[in-house]
Amino acid sequence: MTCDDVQQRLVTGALAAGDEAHLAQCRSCQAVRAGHGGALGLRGVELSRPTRVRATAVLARAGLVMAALLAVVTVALRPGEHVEAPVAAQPPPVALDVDADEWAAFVAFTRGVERDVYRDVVTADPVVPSYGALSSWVAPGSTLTSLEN
Amino acid sequence: MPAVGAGRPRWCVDGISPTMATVRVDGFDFEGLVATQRRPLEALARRLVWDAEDAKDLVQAALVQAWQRRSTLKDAAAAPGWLRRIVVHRAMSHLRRRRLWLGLSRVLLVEPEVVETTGDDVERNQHHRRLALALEGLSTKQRAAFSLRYLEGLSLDEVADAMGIDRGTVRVHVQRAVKALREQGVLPERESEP
Repeated sequence: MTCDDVQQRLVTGALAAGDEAHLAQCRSCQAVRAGHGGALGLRGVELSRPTRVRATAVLARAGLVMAALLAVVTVALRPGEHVEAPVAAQPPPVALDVDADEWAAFVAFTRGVERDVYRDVVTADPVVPSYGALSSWVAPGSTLTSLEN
Repeated sequence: MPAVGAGRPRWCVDGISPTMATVRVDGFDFEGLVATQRRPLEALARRLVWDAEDAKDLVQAALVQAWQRRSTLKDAAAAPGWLRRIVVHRAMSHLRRRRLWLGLSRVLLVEPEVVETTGDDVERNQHHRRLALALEGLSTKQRAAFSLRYLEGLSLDEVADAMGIDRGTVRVHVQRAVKALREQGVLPERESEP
């Protein structure tokens, strides 16, 4: 026999044998018995609503919350901005104090170097004979031949 | 027997009256039933939802539902219990919706409006107010079972019939409700009769 069994019989008003003995010892069941007795005296009582919730107030607040959530989600899902890589700072131009003649000589020298380094491809060079004339070009001169003989 | 298929019953909408003077459906007088049961049903609904206007709306909707399903009723003697069952079910749905709104308002931190009680007996009003707040904390079924058993004064069998559940389940709901309310100290002190 549990307290729940006794209490359920209590609210039906049909106690079983042995329930009174349990009730004499159990404070929880005594409380339910007193509660049941008190509740029986409530017959005919009409209660009124203690509080009222305005649907408009709830909907307005819900709208605000939804708008805030939407704003947060929109910001979170926005594509990231293109960030330029930082450009290394250029060193400041060096001011040179050069004599005009020296500068002209330097320019001529650099142009000469440039000309030698970046020589244009040529197909005919008066200095270098063509491949067909190579034998005559490399042939020993008459002086050398005479010396040999 | 007059035709009952089309049109709406006289009690349904003010100003729109069907051609029939008396609505007899399968051997029972529907209008007579409404005339005798409307007030008790409204009182029952008031005890469940604690709001006179809501109770009237509930009973009206229940009567319309009963009218639409009148062909399913086989025994005219069972009509009052049938109507009561419809009203109780609608009231419980109403209470569930109200509970949902209350929960939603708590989540959204909307402060519920306090309804001022009227009446001369301030102490009794305060006690009823505490009882109502405690009942609002119970589950819908416990609250309905308690209200039908103690406020309306129905027997456990009648409560079971009205709620559409078995007697043992009603007993459990009532016991838990009494225990919870007793722990909150909102039930009046009185020893039960032997």
